[in-house]
Amino acid sequence: MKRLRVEAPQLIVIFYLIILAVSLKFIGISYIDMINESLIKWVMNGVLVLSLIPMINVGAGRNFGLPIGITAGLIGMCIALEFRLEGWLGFGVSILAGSLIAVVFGYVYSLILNRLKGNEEIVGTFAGFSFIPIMNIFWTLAPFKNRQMLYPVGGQGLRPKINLDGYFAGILDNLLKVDIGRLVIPVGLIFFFIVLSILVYLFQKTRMGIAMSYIAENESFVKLSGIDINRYRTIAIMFSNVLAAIGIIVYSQSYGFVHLYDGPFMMAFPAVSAILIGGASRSKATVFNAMLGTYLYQTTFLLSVPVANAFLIPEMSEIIRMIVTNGIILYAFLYEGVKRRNEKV
Amino acid sequence: MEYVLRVEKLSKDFNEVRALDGVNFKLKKGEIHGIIGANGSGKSTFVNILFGSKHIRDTGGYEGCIYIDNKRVDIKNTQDAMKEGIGMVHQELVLLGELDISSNIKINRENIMDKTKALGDFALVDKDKNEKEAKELLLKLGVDIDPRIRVKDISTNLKQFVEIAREIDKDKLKILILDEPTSSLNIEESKILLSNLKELAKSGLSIIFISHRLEEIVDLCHRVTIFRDGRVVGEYGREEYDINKMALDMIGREVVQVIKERKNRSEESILSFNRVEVSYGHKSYKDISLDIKRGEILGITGLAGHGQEIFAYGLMGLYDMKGDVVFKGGKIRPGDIGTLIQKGIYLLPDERKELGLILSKSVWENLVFESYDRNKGFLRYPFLGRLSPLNHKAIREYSEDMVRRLNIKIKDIDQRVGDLSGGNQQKVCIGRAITIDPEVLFVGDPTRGIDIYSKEIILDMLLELNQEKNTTIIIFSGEVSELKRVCDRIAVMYNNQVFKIFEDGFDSEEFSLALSGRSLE
Repeated sequence: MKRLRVEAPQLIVIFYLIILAVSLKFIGISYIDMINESLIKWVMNGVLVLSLIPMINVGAGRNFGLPIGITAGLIGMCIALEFRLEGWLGFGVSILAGSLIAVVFGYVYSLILNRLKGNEEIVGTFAGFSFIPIMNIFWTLAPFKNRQMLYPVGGQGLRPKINLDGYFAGILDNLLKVDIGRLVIPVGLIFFFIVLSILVYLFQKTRMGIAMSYIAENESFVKLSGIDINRYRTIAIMFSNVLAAIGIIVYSQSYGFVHLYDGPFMMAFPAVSAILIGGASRSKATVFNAMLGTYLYQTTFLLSVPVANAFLIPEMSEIIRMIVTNGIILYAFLYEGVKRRNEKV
Repeated sequence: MEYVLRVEKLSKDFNEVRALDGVNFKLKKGEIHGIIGANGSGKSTFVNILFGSKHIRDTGGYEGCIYIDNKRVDIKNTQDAMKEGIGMVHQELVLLGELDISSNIKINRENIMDKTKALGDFALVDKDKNEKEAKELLLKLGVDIDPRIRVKDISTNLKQFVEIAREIDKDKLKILILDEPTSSLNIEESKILLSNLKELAKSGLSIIFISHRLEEIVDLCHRVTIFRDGRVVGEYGREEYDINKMALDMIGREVVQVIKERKNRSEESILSFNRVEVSYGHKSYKDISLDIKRGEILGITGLAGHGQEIFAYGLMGLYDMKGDVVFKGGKIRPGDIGTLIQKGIYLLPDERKELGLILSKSVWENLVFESYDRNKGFLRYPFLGRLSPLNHKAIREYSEDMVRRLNIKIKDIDQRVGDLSGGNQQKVCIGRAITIDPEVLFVGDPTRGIDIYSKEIILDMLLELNQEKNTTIIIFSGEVSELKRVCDRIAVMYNNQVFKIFEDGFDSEEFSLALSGRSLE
């Protein structure tokens, strides 16, 4: 493990976290509850953040087109719901179907990104955004028959939020819960996250994973070593999309709803922000970056809600969330831009 | 005597390593002053201080005094240096590839249309005049080329001339620093450049000329200063020149030149290009043929832009090559690099830092990268194919051994390749080629930017590879004198065609004529 670098973003967030933690004392909210909550939030969002890693490391940038992979996961869940698959079967089929669709979406997405090398982030942002309205049409027209998924009135088109109660809501959250006094540790949930993290970590250590990380630095060199760059990029993009699909399924089982339509709209920015807080750069991210970043980022917001509500106006926490999320991304761009310029003259 | 530049007791530390130690240096007006020294002797640090490089400032600045026209100056950054009339052409070229040649030369000094002068910064640029002046400047340096071509489409050698043209175009220029300007040029081009530099010096410009080529220095410079380990170890005036003594000063020991022993070559061809078509830089060239024999060392040379690199680059997909290429009796597809490497064709490109190495990775990573198909032992679970992790133990043992065998000077195998000197970087490249163990190895300019001592080691390595494993080696390079020593045959390129292939008589008049596309009759 290389020496852990703590830079401005991490410092700001940790500092902010300490202020929040101290404030909690004054408004009488128990730390234990907050810790319980933070563990759930961590994994709930963690897999989505993890999904950014393969694309970053192959040099395709931070995946601002995250909604594309997320949509695949949503379709996967809808398929499981349509057949009224409950419990583990429903969860498993969602992941299987979602992953298969993510592979197809990822392939098409990679065709676009491979033609526009160097601009993946901006292209991804727009690809993600323009994909959502297309899917909105799909959600209204798709021939799903399960009444619980459809608009209650009229009976046509999927409803924006499908309740997962009775299907697989909380299936991971409640798996192997260990109670230590009032502290509840969702062992099953964390275990699932760690298994996925280890998979991503091991992939980075394979021959293919190593070659991919070289592509981010010097594409011509890797090409001259006989590697089909576009093929590798396609594989990494598909991998990212599959993880994003699994990520939204994990998210949804915690959330208790499948959020269609504009649900995926604003999911890319918090994920990117989280991995940046974890210390990732444009072309290098580790599993550790994703895990640390998600925990810091999500816990910060978890704590800021009660604190802001007590001391400021109720909407303040949402405002702070926007400022931090987008501010961190802007900081990362600035930092990289300045660094790149300084390397030259 | 009036000195344009006087440097007293200049010192510089990099992380407690002394890179320059009390250097004194004087430059007269109109003088061409050579600086020679092995890699890492402090030459580059010296000129980087003079030119206000950011790297120097970031690492704590320098100690000592610099006087220009007897006025003490403090060079904090590149702008300061330029204000004092110092211009520099770096080894790594700094040009805007998307702009044409004239724009690159006239950048920030553009001619503007008289009628729009009142508009200040918004005045229109007089493109025709720029092009005319650029053309004249280049002719002054001895190059005749259309200044409207985009810089990214011209060869490295020509870029060098463009960069020099840009510097000499500056009115205030008093001192021109050239950091190995001839390293990417061949003999003919170097001659052209050198004779034009002499003219420039006569007109009053002072030139600091860094080179590894002693013959050039002796021919060109009025005075020579020799650097070794950050100190000035000798200074020679024109009348005291003695190449052997200078080389000894530079290295601290004697250099033995390698020469290939000629053996009976096989007549069997291993790789042949039959009337192929190659396109690059918006131009395409047809009917190019070359036949490479098994086990030979073939040199390919020619003037700048005449296509010494087209076979290697075309085959490896850096240029677009179409047509009939036969390897060991079977047809192969140019550009299909993966298959070509599997079949045993490999390229060590001339642009080492851009194409030949991953600078931020360690020595061992660079030594074994993607050589796993040939060395299954490097994979921990070979049956997993591309999903197998690496066998670090085997790789480290192999790398340690390779570093010892090739005498690569490093702290340990985890050191970043980017921190090594040019010679050691090239050794790492050759190390990887040995690891991959190809049947046909293309090598581009293997000795560019490498000191005379390391040069011989590199050439010797290539010879050894050829003798021990019977690897067919094709060296494309402008260093004719080196090619003459190590090659069995030399193909001379002219206008992107094989003009003539010499099996002997490398020193003949015919050979020299061939370089410029002429025959004896």
